[in-house]
Amino acid sequence: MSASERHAASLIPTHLHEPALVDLMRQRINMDMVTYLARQTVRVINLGDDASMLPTPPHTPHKASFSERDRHSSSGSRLPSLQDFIIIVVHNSRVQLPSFMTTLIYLERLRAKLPRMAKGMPCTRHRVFLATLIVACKYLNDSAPKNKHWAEYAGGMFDPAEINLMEKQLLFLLDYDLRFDENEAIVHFAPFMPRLSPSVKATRAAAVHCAKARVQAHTSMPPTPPHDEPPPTETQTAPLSGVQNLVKRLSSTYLSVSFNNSASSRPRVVSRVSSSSTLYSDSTTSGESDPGTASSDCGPSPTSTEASSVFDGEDDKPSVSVQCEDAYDAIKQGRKVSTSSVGTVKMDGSHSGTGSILKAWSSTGHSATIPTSRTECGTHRSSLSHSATSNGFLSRMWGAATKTQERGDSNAMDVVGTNAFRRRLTHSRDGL
Amino acid sequence: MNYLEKLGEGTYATVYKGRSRTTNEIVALKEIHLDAEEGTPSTAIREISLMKELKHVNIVRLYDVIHTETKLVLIFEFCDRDLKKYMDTHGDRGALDPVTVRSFMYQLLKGTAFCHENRVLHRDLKPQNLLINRKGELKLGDFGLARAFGVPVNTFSNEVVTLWYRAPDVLLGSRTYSTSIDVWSCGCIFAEMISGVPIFRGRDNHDQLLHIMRIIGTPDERLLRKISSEAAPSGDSAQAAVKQFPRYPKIPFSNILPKANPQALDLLERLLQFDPAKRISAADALNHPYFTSTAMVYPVPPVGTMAPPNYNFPHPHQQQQQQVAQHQQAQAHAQAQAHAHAQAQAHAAYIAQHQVYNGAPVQQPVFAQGQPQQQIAPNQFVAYHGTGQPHPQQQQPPR
Repeated sequence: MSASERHAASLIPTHLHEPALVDLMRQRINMDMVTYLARQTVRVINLGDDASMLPTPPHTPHKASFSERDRHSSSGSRLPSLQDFIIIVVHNSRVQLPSFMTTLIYLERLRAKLPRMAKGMPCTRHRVFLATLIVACKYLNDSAPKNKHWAEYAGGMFDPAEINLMEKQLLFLLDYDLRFDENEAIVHFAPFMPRLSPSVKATRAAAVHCAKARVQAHTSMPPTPPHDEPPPTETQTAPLSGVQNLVKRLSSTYLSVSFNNSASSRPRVVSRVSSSSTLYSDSTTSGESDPGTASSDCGPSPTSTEASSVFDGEDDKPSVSVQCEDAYDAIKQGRKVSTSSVGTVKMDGSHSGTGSILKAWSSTGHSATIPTSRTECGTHRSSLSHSATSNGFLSRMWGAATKTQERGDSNAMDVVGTNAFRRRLTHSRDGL
Repeated sequence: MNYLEKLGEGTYATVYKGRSRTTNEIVALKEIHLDAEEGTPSTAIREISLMKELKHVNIVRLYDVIHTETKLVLIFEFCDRDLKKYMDTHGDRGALDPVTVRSFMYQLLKGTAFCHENRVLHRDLKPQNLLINRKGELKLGDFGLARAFGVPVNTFSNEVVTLWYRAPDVLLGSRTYSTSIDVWSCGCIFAEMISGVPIFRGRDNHDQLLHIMRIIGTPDERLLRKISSEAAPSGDSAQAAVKQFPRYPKIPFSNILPKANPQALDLLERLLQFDPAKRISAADALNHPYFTSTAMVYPVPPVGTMAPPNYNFPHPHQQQQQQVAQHQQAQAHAQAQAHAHAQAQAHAAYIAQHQVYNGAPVQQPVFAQGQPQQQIAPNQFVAYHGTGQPHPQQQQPPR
């Protein structure tokens, strides 16, 4: 194999690639792509005020220092539109098309992992987009801008500490699952590959979903129902008719560029924890549940994640160290178990991760209703169907800095900092 | 988690030995300092993303990741030391005995082949990044420079691999390198294990190329020009680069490594090919007669040697290899291995362990040293037909 036949961006022979993909990768970013990416970002998460795509939040004025640096907003409470923001960042960073398009893959992965009812702050989508772009650039390129550069590219809207935080949060939510293959790229980039025949798309989509189905078999992840299906209720459908549905959904989704918020009303299975009973009890007590339970439910769960009271305020400060200790022990317990059963890993962590965040969230005093529906499916059981009033969840995940500003509590960032993300990568027995 | 001791420190991370408070399990903790300006380092992002998927006995296992405000802690399987330290302490002025070399080389290629199968380039193979545990297992570590490849969305730098282990195509500026750059590093490590010293010790990029050419010879101009032009498409600089190199003749590896046996030298030759297209793949190297035909069987392991490795390789190629000849007559080789060693026993035991036909292990023949003997090769190793001859009758399993 001569190097001249090798594609410089893949290091494998060019003829092995889909020609339409190779063509696309040579193009420059255009407005259609920006518009499409903005739509896809919107699909990831709803804002607190559902009716509005408006940039102005009803309840979150920005801190003065924040808006001073924001030269794209005339007042403290105005953000550039998401699309404008994307244009600004793309222009300033001179990001190349492959990294830009890869954000589509990460956005979709994030969407699949976030609770449907999760609500964001007005700037949450901006953060989501920026974080996916930063991570894509770092993952795909041997030399990538530092976060302080991204702070400049973003027009000063976020300071470096915020950018570090959103990057960290994204990596955590994606469970560092950044790899993708050519089929997945083709499926997600399909709207911009007119030369790609529909049959190729279908085949690629099927391939992606077969691969996903294999992974999801471990987590008993039911397929995302098509648009018009009612939300999943107490009983979950087995992941059988999955591939067909998914292929259908995908082709309809990706062939038509037009999206609207029908996506957001679509029922989604939102998150998954391996130890739903604990989560359930935590949430129903909706009070000061003992952080120590973390060890009992976190330990045996596969790739469980402990985000102990991730972005809660100063109230939690005393308990943080306790939680960390317990979580740590839990990790160790889990890992001990894991040595005996190696195998299912990949998707588990992310789903249980989200669940754990929710648990941490619900266990720290905020009132929450998290109806759980439980089914036995393999060893990993239960999915959570959140209709939680989880207004706080994503403000915590994505709007933390803003939240601290809201409170005018300059120390809150430290609290945020002292809380650790704990992630488990190994598989372990599902206890409880 | 108790921190026990500091194991090492680099610019990017500090590694500690740690013990879990609940399980008492010993682990390695790699603490990565988070720079406020950089954010999460891309090296850490890739290391985590790639290592959590690469589960293999010859790759250090990543157990956990802890992300805090100021640092990122990666929790790894613990290994006692790296290959560099191992050579310093166990080797004869750094040189390891042939049996250990073969065992380590096999495991190195096994781990490397697994990476390549999974479309991952390590890009920094060197003795310091190969970890040896108490069982004598060798594991690839430090995937900070590693990259996934195969999807046309990446950009690749040519500032990869530690200089002494860097392949000539990368030294000439190529960015369209491939799995063959890891194979080159494997070859350098192979020679270093045999002799105890790094084989090519250049001061800089150009000097490194001269060191390589002084041993394997200056390649013909066509090849040099081809590699250079791919690296720097503007023709002039490529021409200039080619002219700078003196014409060195090739020195046989046997002159440089007089201790090595002919099969080892043959494998080394195939690993250290100047032309990346001619370099053997890691998977093919595993089927080289150096591994397949030698049966190292020694009656008494000397006291105090390393415990036998407890091999448990997954065999991704098993199916394929079963389709290949099941049997092979091995080469006469006994004089090449003059030392009795525990590793030999271990390796022979490993071979025997995998020499299972219809569930019955083949009895392990024991030979006197120095006598050419026919030996049954393990079926996993059989795929190389260069020298071996099928000899079906001999391979009947004892019942």
